[in-house]
Amino acid sequence: MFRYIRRRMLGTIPTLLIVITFVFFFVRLIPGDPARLVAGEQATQADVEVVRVRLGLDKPLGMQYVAYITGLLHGDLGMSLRTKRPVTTEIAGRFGNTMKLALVTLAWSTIAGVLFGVWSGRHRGRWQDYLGMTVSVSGISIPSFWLGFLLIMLFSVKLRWLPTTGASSWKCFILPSVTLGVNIAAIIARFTRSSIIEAFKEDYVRTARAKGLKENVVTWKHAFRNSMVSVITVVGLRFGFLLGGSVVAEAVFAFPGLGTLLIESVNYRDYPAIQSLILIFSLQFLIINMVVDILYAALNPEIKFG
Amino acid sequence: MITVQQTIDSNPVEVVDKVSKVRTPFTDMIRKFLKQKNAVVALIFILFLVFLSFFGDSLISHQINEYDYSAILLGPSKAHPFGTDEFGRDLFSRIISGTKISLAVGLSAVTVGALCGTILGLLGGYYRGIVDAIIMRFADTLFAFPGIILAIAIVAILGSGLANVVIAVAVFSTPTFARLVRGETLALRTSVFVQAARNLGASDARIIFRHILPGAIPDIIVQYTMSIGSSILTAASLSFLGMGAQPPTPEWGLMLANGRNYIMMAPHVTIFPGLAILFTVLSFNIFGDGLRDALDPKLTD
Amino acid sequence: MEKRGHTILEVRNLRTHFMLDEGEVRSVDGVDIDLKEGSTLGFVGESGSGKSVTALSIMGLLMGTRGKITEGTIRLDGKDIVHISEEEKRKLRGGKISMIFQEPMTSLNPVMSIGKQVEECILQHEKITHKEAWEKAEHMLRMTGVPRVEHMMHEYPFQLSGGQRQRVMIAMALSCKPRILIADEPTTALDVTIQAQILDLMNTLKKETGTSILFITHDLGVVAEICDDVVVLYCGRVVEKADVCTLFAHPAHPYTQGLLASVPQLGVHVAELDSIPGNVPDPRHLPKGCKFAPRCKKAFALCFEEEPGFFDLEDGHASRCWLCEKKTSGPANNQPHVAVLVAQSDAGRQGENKNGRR
Repeated sequence: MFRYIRRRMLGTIPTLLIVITFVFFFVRLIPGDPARLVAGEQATQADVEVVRVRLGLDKPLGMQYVAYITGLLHGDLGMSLRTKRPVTTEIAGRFGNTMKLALVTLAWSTIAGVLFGVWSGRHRGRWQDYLGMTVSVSGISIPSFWLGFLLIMLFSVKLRWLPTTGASSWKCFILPSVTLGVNIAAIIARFTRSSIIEAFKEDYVRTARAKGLKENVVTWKHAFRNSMVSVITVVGLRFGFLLGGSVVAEAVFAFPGLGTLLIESVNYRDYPAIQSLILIFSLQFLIINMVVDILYAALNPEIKFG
Repeated sequence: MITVQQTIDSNPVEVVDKVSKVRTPFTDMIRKFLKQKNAVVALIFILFLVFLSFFGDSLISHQINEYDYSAILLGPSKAHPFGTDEFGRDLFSRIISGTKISLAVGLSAVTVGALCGTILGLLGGYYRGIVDAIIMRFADTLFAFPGIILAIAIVAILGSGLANVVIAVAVFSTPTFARLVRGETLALRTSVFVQAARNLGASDARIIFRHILPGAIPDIIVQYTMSIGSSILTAASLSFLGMGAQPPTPEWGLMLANGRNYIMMAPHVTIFPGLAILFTVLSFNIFGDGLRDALDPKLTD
Repeated sequence: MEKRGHTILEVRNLRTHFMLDEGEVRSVDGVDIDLKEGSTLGFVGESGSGKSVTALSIMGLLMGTRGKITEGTIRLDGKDIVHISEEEKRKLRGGKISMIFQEPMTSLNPVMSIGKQVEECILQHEKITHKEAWEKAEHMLRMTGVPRVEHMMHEYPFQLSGGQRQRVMIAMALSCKPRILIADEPTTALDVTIQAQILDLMNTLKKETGTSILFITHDLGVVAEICDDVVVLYCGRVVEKADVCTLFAHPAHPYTQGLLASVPQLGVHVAELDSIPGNVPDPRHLPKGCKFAPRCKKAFALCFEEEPGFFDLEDGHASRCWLCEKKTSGPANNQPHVAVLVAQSDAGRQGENKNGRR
């Protein structure tokens, strides 16, 4: 088992390196001269060159790359061209908010999705199933930003219960979380439903019923326990997407998170920030994938003991 | 079953009757699909949208960029079934006009992604070794980015505009298809009929395209329809963020973004484009579901 | 012959139909069973004859399928078990009637330990503590002869062989000392040597727990090995019933005769294996009259017109064949070549019977 974990962790490293390199060169493709951007429209060419040296942009790409990697290992992500502050500071300020939003959303949407999916799959072919399927397919089809607006119209404008922007109190998290979570809950529900329908067809479910076990026990302890593994995989993947996909939800609610930071940075061509943000998103994603794989192994007795 | 003797003896009309109840996998699939009423309705709606894409412009009464400052932000009325936007433009006409944009973007992006992904998947799965390793690393790298982040990154480089949105969506759809087709290829290349074809001296190209690809097609088709829905959503999201369609294009996501400032006084400006997106994506997803259930050989109870 | 008690399971005119898109499929169409206490009843038939569906109907395990019992009664110890609530049916399963299945490889939950699975069955039906249930489970497993029981309790199904898994299934099924055990082809998926061990085990345990067995199989050798009585099924109907000796000695129904005749004999060289011509009819398009008529060597005009009744011969022997209508003894005086074959198989079986049965 531990061998598996070690192997998995080592396997992530090459991908990580590729991603880092990829992001480095990628960002340099963005049009516009960053030195000019920093120096300002009015600066003379001489000033721009001074800035260029200061930013280390005059050195050959290879050396820039090395400098970049070294910087990464020291936790230095560069200076934001837009705010003139270290990128690390910008990110640190917003990281907490996005993380909180993501975790809360993941928690409720997973529970809702699983319960809904199991309920739907259990009553396959009957009204519960049709209702469940209709709701979940609507959930994946609805544009999240539109949903956000509808929620604002109802809860903020008409009812005045909840705020529309910011992250000052826990109330600020509700609407963005719902906006973000509906899509995820729907995906999880659909997946859980088909997983559990497959599980119900298995022989061991028939055996469980033949033992006279209550239908609830058959559903959860036998059918779901077997689907759980693949459901967790899907949930894990969705969490990774959550961190990036929150961009849209954050935009709707002007939520001070990493997503809005990315948008601001892209609009400004603040490439150290863009670079670092993209790196962080993919890093989170890779780490989560790895955790999910390990969890999968832990839950699957064949890998655990085999 | 009809025996030869029976065929010879009986009435030709009767024989044709019996034979026409032929069940091939294709007719089975059609039959199973038609049984799902909601999928059929979805298909009809999609065809309606396609129709609107081609002929919509000739049906609408107002110009889509007809500014009319005397009629701004009006609610739905007989003259303007969906109301007007902040420039007095008729929303109904704009939404209808936007149909072809959304469909074109969705379909072209996914088609390109599917083509690239399928080719990569076939090559990787069939030849294995280094080719496969490279392709898989490439796919894994792309997978390391949440879809919309990748799309934003690509648009950041290429600039805004719908063409670039198409490229961005195509890029992030490719690894999905690559993985899918690679999996199928891996499974099929060891099957008996592929071995037989190889023994008979068939070339690699022939094996790949004549034997393996057809086996993967059902899954590809299902993934394709499902991807259309999400690509339309992504395109609309990008437009909403200001990175996709630019004004005055009547793209639904863009219309929603514009309407954002007027939520309190004129909610219809955001409601109708959103409904358009919702129903379009919904119909593709329901259609995709129906298709998948019809193609699934295990689903005969 | 063993002592026969009263009828513990009585099935009368059971009909289970499946509503498929293409139409109604009558899997079980008028089956009668009498299972006597302490005996083993063999339930013989080809695939598609309706034997498994009969078993599932008795157990009430038709949920999740499109099958429904449309007619008939099933009585356990004289009490109806068809028209009772789902809850009551559930209580019977595992406790009063148990079932083991054909595919031991997939019949156990892959993510639960063996011990937990057996214990679960016990805890469902008996109000005892976890510790007691665990010990009982261990005891039951030990009785089935698996090696290293203490280890196995903590192992997972993937670590066990097919034969071992089937023993676990048997342990689970018998753990609550059910009145009836339905065994649906439990040895078909196993090697012949393991098969013999499992059959031995079932016989032994049956005596210890006093369970009556309904043994479903298509293998006549197994029937000869462990059954007291036999019921032969064709197209969802019982076509012959008898005690095992009579069935092998004087099969009355042409189908039974055909089954017996098509078993190759060790040491007897034949130019061609005798098989029953044709195929089992499509359940959606059953022939009029006797369902076996199209394949029957002895069929005559009436057979194609009207379905024969279930005619009593002697001593509990009955057959659904027009040829048996007026006869009171076996049809041995009918076709000489069948008689010869029957005599041969008779001799063979008698030999086996004397050695094989305990």
